[in-house]
Amino acid sequence: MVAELDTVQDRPQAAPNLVGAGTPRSVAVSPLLRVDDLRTHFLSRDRYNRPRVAAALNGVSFSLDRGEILGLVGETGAGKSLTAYSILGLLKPSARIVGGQVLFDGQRLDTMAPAALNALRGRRLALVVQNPKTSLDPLTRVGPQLLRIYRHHRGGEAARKRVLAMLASVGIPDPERRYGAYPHELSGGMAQRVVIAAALINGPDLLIADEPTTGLDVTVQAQVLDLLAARVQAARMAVLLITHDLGIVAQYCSRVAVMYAGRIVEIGAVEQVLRDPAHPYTRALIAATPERLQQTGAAPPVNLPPPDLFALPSGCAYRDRCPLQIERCASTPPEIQAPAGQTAYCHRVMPAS
Amino acid sequence: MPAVTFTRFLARRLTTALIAVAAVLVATFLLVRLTPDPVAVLAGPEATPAQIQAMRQQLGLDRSVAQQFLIYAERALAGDFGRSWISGRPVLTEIAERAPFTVELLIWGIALGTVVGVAIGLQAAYRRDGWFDQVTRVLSLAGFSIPTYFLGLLMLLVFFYLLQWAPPGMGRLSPLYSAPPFVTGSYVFDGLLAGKLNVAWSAAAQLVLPVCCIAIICAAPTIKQVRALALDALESDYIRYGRAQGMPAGMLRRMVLRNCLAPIVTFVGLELVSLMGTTAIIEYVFSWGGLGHYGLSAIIAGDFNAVQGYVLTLACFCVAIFLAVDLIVLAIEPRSR
Repeated sequence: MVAELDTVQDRPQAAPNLVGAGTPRSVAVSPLLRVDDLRTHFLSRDRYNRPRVAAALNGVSFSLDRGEILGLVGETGAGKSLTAYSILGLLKPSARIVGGQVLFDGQRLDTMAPAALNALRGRRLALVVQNPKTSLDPLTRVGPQLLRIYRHHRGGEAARKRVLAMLASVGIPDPERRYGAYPHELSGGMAQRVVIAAALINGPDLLIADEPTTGLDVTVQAQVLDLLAARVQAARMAVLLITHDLGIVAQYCSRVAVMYAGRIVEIGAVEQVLRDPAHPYTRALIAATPERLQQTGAAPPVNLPPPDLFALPSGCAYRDRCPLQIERCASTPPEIQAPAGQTAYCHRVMPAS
Repeated sequence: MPAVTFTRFLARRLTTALIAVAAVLVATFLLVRLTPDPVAVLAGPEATPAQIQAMRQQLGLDRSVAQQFLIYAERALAGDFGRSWISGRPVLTEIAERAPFTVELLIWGIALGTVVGVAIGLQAAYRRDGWFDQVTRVLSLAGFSIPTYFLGLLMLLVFFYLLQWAPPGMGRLSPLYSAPPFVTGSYVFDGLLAGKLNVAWSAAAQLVLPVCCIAIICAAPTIKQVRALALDALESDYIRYGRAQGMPAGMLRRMVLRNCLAPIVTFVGLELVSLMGTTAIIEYVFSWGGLGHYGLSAIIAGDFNAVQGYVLTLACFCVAIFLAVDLIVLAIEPRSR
C-alpha cells in the first residue's frame, strides 16, 4: 500500500486505471478516488462554553478505482457515513475536515470552490442515500425532481424521455404513472429505486451508496443491489458501498475496508479479509454476524458502548475492547501486510514473511 | 384529491366550525350574565326602583335565564343581536359599520408584519449565529415582551410628539377633512375612488402608526417561528440530498421556503386570530373607532347586547380564518391530501 501511494504521488496526472479491479496492488496508476489521511472533527461547546472536539475521522486512507466496488463496514458511529459526506463536501456546519485530502480524478475535492464542487456533484459524483423517503423533496413529484437533476447538469433536450427510461431501467413498473407521484406516495423499495435512478441519470464516475438497502425487506434488497451491481458493471463506475451487512459485502464487493472509531483497521480483497481476517476487530465483527453466531452456537456479544470520540485512547482505539491487548497497543499501530495479502493496522498481526 | 374526499373534508370542517360557534353563543350569553346587574348603572343614579323595574322589563331581564337564552339564540342565528343598550341602534348595524375600519388596520398590519417577519426569519436562519441573527433575536424578543398599549403610546411619543413625523392618534382622518362617500369603508380607497387625493393621503398617514404597531406585534413571533422552521428545513435530509446533486444555493433556498410555507400559513392564521384581540387595544390608543374599540367600550359600559355581538362576530371571524388556513394548506401541501 505504501509503495503504491508513493508511486501515485510521483505521477498525479497518470491515466485512470482501465485495466480492471480486484488486484489494485499490482496497478501503479492514479486511482479515480484517493482519500489520504482524512480527518474530520465535530466542534461544539459544552455548557460552560468550552470548546469540545469529537474526533470522528482520524486518518482515513484508501483508494478506489473504476469498475471496483469497495465495501465500507463497521459498527454504528465508526464514521462510515461521515467518510462519504466528507468526500462529497456535505458536512453539517458543526463538522469540519481538519486534515488530509480527497483526490478525485486528480482534483482536490476538500479544498474545491463550492461552484466547481456543485458542477461535479450530481454529475460525476453521485450519492444514494439510506433514507430516500425523507431525502426526496416532499413537495415535488419524483419525475420533475429527476428532470431537475438532469437539466441542471446536462441541459433540456429530451430530458423527460431520459427520466422515464431511467425510471424503467431501475425496475420501476409503470414509469409514466410514477413520474407524477409524490415521494410520500411511494413504497420504501420504490423510493429507493427512484434515488438510484437519480444517482445514475447523469452517468456518474463515482457512486457512493450509503446503506442503500436499509429498511427494505430481503427480497427487495437483493433486487435493488443486483440492479445496482449490473448498472455499475455496465458503466464501469467506481462504487463506495457503505453497509453493516457482511453478507452484502461478500456478494457484491471486490474489496472491503473495516472501520473502527474513525480509522480503517483492515482493508483488502473481500476473500482475503472475510476468509482470513487479520485484525482482532474484524474477527470479532465476523464472529458477531447472525449467521456465524448460529453456526458456532456462541452467545451474542455483549453490547459494549461505542468508543468515546471525545476521549479516544492513545494508539489503537480498539485496545480497551481487544482480547489480545498488550502494552505496546498504546502506541500507534503499524501498517502490516497480513499473510493472506490484505493490510491491517495492528501490533498483534504477524506480518507475511 | 378526489371530489368526494374533498366534500367530506369540507363537511367535517364546517361541522366543527358550527359546533365552535354554538359553544361561543352559549359562553358569551353566560359570561355576560355572570357580571353584576348593569341595569342600575344604565338607569343612572337618580332612577327610582320603579323606573329600574320598568327598565328590566323593557330589556327582558325579568324573564328566566333559559328563556332569555332561547330568545337570544333564535335572534342571533337570524343575524339579530338586538339593539345596543347605549345607542339604541341595532348591534349588527353598528358592527357592520365599524368592521371595515378594523379589517383595514388588520390587513395592512398583518401583511407588513408577515412579510417583514418571514424575510427576517429566513435571513436569520441562513446566517445562523451571525450578527444579523443575534440582532434580530434581541429585537424579536423586545417585540414579544413590550405591552401593546405601551408600544402604541411609545410610537405616538416618538413619531408624533418628538419627531413630528406622524399625525396625532386621533382617529382615521385629519379633522380638516370630511369622510369620503362610503364604498369599501376604507378612507384610503374611498378617497381615491372619490378623486380626493388629499383625503386618501391623510387617511394613509393616520394608518401608519397603528399599522406599524400591529406589524411589530405580528413580526416578533413570526421571526422566531420562521427562523426555527427554516433551520429545520436547512438541516433536513432533502436539502442535504439537494446539495449532493449540485443544486445551487438559490435553488435550495427556494426549496426551504416552499417547504416552510404550509406551517407559516398556519402560524399566520393563528397570529391573525390572536391579533383580533390585540387590535382592540391599539384601536383604543389611536381612537380608531373600529370593531375592537366598539367591543372594548361596550365591555366597559356593560352593554350586554353589544358585547355579545362583538364576541360572536370575532368567533365567526376566527372560524372563517381557520377554515381558510385549512384550505390553503390543503392546496400547497401534497402530504395533507
